[in-house]
Amino acid sequence: MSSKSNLNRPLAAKATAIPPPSTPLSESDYAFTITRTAVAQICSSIGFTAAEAPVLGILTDIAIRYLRTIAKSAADSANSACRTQANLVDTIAAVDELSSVSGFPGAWRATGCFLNSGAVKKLDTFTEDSKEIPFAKPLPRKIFSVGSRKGLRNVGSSKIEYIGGEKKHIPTWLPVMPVIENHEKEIVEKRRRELWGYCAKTEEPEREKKEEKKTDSGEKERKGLELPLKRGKVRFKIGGGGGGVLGVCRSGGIGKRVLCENWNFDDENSSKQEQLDEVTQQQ
Amino acid sequence: MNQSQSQQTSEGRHEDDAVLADFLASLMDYTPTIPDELVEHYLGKSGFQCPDVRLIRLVAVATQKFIADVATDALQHCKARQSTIVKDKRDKQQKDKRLTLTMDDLSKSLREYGVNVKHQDYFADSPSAGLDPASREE
Repeated sequence: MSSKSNLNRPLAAKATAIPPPSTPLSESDYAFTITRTAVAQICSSIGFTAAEAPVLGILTDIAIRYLRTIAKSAADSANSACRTQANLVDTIAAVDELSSVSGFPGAWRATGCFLNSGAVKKLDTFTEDSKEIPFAKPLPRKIFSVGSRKGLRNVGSSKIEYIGGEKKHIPTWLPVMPVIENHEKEIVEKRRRELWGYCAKTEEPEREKKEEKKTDSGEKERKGLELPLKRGKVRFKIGGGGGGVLGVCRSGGIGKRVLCENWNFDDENSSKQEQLDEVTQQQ
Repeated sequence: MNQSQSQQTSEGRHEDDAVLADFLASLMDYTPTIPDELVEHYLGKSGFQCPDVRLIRLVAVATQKFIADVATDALQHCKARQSTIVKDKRDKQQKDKRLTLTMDDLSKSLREYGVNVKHQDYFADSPSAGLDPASREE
């Protein structure tokens, strides 16, 4: 009996280690699956008709490691140059570093410029010679486009970063500010009441004020029919010698400055009056 | 003499710069097999931040080239292995002449790139091998 129980132990452990098929895949699993598909596409383009599943998994793992090593190397060189964003030189240096294992033309130059690297030239010939095989399916970008969260991109499961909109100037490495709902006014009102009790302004006088404002604005609108609220632009020249409308004139030769105004609104007023007449006629 | 040399070197640099600029411009039209979104995901995970699509595609093309090189080597190993099979067996296997990526070929090709891959050791033994003799008797 005991031997049976002992035999069952590793099987039970295995059963707990493998997740049930109904559980959703994590983000890394999703990315791994997509990379696996891309690697399979590359293999089939080269001439393989089939691949063993674990071998394809190993090749996918190596591809991910290669990608991440390039990224890490480029990011390190950018950080060592006091930058947060990697540039072309960092990326080429990283590619050079990784392709130095197999070698490339011009690798012997110890002080060569990165921009004329042999590894990059090899990549150039690769893109020219190889057939362009796009990924099997277009991938969706995770972008929030609802309300105040416009211009945000979901990077991880709990991490979000800005990509555009009003806050595009915020660097991507900064955490996102918490989204504040529209309870601000209520909170402010509460605090005011806590501080001042009922002596503070209540909503009723505010409403009355609003109504008053409305009536005032109505009156102004009525007045606007008679006189324009916005005045037209007034041009003036300094020291123009009579040509300007508003300016500073020097009277006499003593250096005394006198503000002189020559309003010439006859033309403008007449045109506006014509417009107003047209509007009233239409009404 | 020195001036002519310096002129030549400057011309060479200009040519290199032009080649690099052309390559980067061609990356805008080239679609790598590894999608941009995926590369961005992995780059972001490793701390690489760059809004330029060309650099992301450069990394994607570098990875694609590496995988393609490894797979090409593995394919050559596969073909070489199939050609060395004894003639008697070859007739039988000609029907099933499929180029399959196997662990042997991949490990051979990866060894050239400094990656050591091995088959996982598999021990086949009776289930009561590691147990006490007393429990075995029961």
